[in-house]
Amino acid sequence: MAATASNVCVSLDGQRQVLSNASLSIQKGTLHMLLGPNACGKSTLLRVLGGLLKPDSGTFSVPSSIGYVFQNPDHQVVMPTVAADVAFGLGRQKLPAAEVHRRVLEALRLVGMEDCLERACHTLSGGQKQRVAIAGALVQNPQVLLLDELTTFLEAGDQAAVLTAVRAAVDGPQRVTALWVTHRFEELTRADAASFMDGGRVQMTGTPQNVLRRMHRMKGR
Amino acid sequence: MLQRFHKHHCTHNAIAGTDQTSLANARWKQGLLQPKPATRPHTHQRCARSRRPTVGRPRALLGLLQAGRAGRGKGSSESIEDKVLSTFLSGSATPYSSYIADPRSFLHDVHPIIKQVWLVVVLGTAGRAPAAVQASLCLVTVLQTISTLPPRLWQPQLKRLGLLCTVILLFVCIGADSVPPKLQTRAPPPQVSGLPSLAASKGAYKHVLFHWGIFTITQRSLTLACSSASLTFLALQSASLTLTTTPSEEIALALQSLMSPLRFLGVPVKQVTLSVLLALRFMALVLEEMRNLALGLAMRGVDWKAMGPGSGLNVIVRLVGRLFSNLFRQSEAVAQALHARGFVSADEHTIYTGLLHKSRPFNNVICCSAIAGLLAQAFVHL
Repeated sequence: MAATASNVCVSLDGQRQVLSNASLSIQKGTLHMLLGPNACGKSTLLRVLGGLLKPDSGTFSVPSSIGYVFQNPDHQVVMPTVAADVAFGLGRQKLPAAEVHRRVLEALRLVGMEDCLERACHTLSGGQKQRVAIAGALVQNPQVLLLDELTTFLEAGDQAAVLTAVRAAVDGPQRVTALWVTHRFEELTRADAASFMDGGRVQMTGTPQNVLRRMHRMKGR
Repeated sequence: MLQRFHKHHCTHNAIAGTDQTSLANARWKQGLLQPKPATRPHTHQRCARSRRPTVGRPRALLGLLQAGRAGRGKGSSESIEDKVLSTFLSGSATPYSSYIADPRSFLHDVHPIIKQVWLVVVLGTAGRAPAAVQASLCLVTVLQTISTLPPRLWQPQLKRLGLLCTVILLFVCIGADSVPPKLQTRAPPPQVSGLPSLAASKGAYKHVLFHWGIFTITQRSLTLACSSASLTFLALQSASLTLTTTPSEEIALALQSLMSPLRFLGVPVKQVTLSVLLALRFMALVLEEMRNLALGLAMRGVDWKAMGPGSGLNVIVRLVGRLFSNLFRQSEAVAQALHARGFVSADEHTIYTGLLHKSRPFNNVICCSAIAGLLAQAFVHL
């Protein structure tokens, strides 16, 4: 398994229970989608796995190298130009310029943005910014990518481009594992596996078709 | 088959919208808000709320404001608040003189430190240089602008700057000596002392070049006007050229190199540089946040005149509070993203620049020669 969470509980301000015994296992080299209605705890579970939130109880295990991409790319793309922003993630590693250039180019090629190296970030569209944010995470060679509702603000075209970029990263030579949080059913068609969350816990996990079928059955009752 | 759990995904504007909704509800109860006109297209409202306004939609946003105004009837004229909202909505979220990567020009391949030194030298020397040198510098800057920027950028830029400099030239030219200081000379006039008056100048030189009524143009006022106008032009246009031909991170890092001696005095140079970089990046975000708030207000079609000045001011104050609240929230999200990307502190983090293009020695030598020439002429005229 690339990442696991077991009986994770999180409460906000010690009162509202956001996660109650949430458990999840993600297989290596897959695009795993985590679905659920608003405020069911998807993003909170992602934050726990990303090390941004400490759980009240429960255990989780993730590789040492993880990449996190946030919902709003405007928060994540911090440098004024694309190349500098993608290279920002390598800031703590003292690398020669040629190596940085190679890795930046490789990451941007994976998301189909290799022609935008010099573009100013504020001139990019929402989808392009999101892909730059993904490249910024990929440049660090992560084993697991945690993706938090990337397509919320995007139009249909940009949404497809971002999905394709993540799919390319998963299918690429690095065999990255991606956990994609979403509440859009149509995105399930590109996933390898899916889980459905509700009420702060993971209700079911399986193939996208199985999860969809069971959800419709639940809805029909 | 395919469906969504929730129809409203617009969490981005929800932050701004929550307070505005309660505010509008309160105003509605007080009868201060006009009902939305039936003629206003419903699709526009939905579209504007479900999508984030982008840089290229100022006309559409202005249309919304005009629609809101039209809903209040023909008799209602534009209030100051409406004018302020129009200004925000028609403005661009793109900062002035942003970096332009393409087409590449001579200046793109000059080292950023040399460009910054050029700016300082121009500011320090052009003001005291002879008129011929000032005019030459302005001409070179104009030619450089035309050769560097595409016409759609340099034409409006030079027009605006030309207008500003012309206004400065005229005002200083007329104003510098037209209002003489009311001073009483302590020496007796020549008629009283019995000494002959000074002989009139036989040459072509005249101190007063033009005099009509209260308007006087002298040699001094003309020199001062030329210096002011040319210095304004050179300072603004050189800075604009530097910004448009240098990526922001390279400008910031060049500044860091120039400021590095200050480290010995305890100045946190790296932190200052990173702050500058983040400020340059998030300037557009602040502008967009302001536009989002203005859009939210414009969409409600508030009748400012009916509200009165006190209530209008109250709304503005609350909106400014909301703006800062949203910006702080965004700052927090940015800080979290920086942390997730491995940022610990400015001192331990390297900002990589110059990944694509290195400056060319030939271009650097040409620019250094120009700086040396400017400095030399300044010493000659000291």
